[in-house]
Amino acid sequence: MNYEQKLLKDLKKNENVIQVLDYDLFVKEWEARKGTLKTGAGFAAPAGDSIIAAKLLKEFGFDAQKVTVKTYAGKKYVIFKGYPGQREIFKGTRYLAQNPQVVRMAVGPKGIVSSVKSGFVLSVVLSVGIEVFDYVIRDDALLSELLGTITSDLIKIGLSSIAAAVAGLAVGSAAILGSVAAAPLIAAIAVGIVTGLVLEKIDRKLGATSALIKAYEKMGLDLREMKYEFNRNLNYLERNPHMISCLFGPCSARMY
Amino acid sequence: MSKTTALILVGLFNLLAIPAVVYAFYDIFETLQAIVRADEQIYYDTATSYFFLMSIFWVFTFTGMAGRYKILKPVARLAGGIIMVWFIAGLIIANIIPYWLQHSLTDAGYIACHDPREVHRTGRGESLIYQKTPCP
Repeated sequence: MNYEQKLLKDLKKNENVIQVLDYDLFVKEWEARKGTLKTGAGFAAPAGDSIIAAKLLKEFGFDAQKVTVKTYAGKKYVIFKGYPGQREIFKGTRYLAQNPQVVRMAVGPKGIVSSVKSGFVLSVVLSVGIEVFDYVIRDDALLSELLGTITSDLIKIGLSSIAAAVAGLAVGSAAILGSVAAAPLIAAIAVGIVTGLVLEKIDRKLGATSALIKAYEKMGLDLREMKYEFNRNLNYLERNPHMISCLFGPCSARMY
Repeated sequence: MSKTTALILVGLFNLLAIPAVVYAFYDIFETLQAIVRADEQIYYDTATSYFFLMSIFWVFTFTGMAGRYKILKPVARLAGGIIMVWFIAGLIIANIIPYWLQHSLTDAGYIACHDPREVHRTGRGESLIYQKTPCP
């Protein structure tokens, strides 16, 4: 092996492949895909609930009058009618409303609330994650913008989750409607989506997000002003230590 | 939640579904009219069709009421299926209508531009301004 071949071998041994991506191109690509990602994030929770609703339909079939919620000795029970042998998940006939299986399948009041809660958490995590990533990679992103959009997200997701929970609980508690296992979940999905849209329209009309961003901007300015004033006073006291006593009571020290 | 409160709330959602569905239809009609009128700018929100989903409350009420009448008992027995089919149909319609309207707008020579009034959107859809001139 001659010197050249040895060098080539050594170089190949330490070979590292580095993928270089142009920053501007990356930001451009991200901005083009951010909308799609946000839409996907908005669909995540309803899609999860829809899968559970489909599972419930598979479990109980098209027939109504299969689920009732009754209270015995102060405890809420979910009672399933029909043939337990035909079911895959709920093999029993009576479950406590807090039963993990019942809650996981979003049946009964606890199940609906739990489903809405997990939907809220998922939406918040995805939505905030996207906004934070956007803030990190963009050079021109402002903290006030990030805080404004996150606050707006939390308000919108929170309010639509509350409306979804109310709708789900109402449908679940209504005598006949509640007997269709998937009905409360479907009501929660529909109301959650529509409330979110109404809030988007209100936000666009009133400019709530813009107002929040401006408020955070102003708060930032105020904080900067406060910091400046604090430093100025501290510097003054450093230059005039005899004035320190004036901080704790009346004094007659001369100012320089 | 007591049954009375639940029924009042379901009734309220039924009533709220009326303006929601009417608005969804009105939005389609208004957009098509704007295309015919060849308006300079057409505002269109791609998520407005999701308002159709509120009609599911009418199905809840109908299937619930059906259980009370002997002649409609088969409907009540199939309530789960009817609700699910209506919901899926609602979702399909909510996705097909924006696709069709956006195509109609671009076919009519409009260009989709972002609505500057929309600073930030949390979820579904996008608010657009369709105009004949290039986006600013």
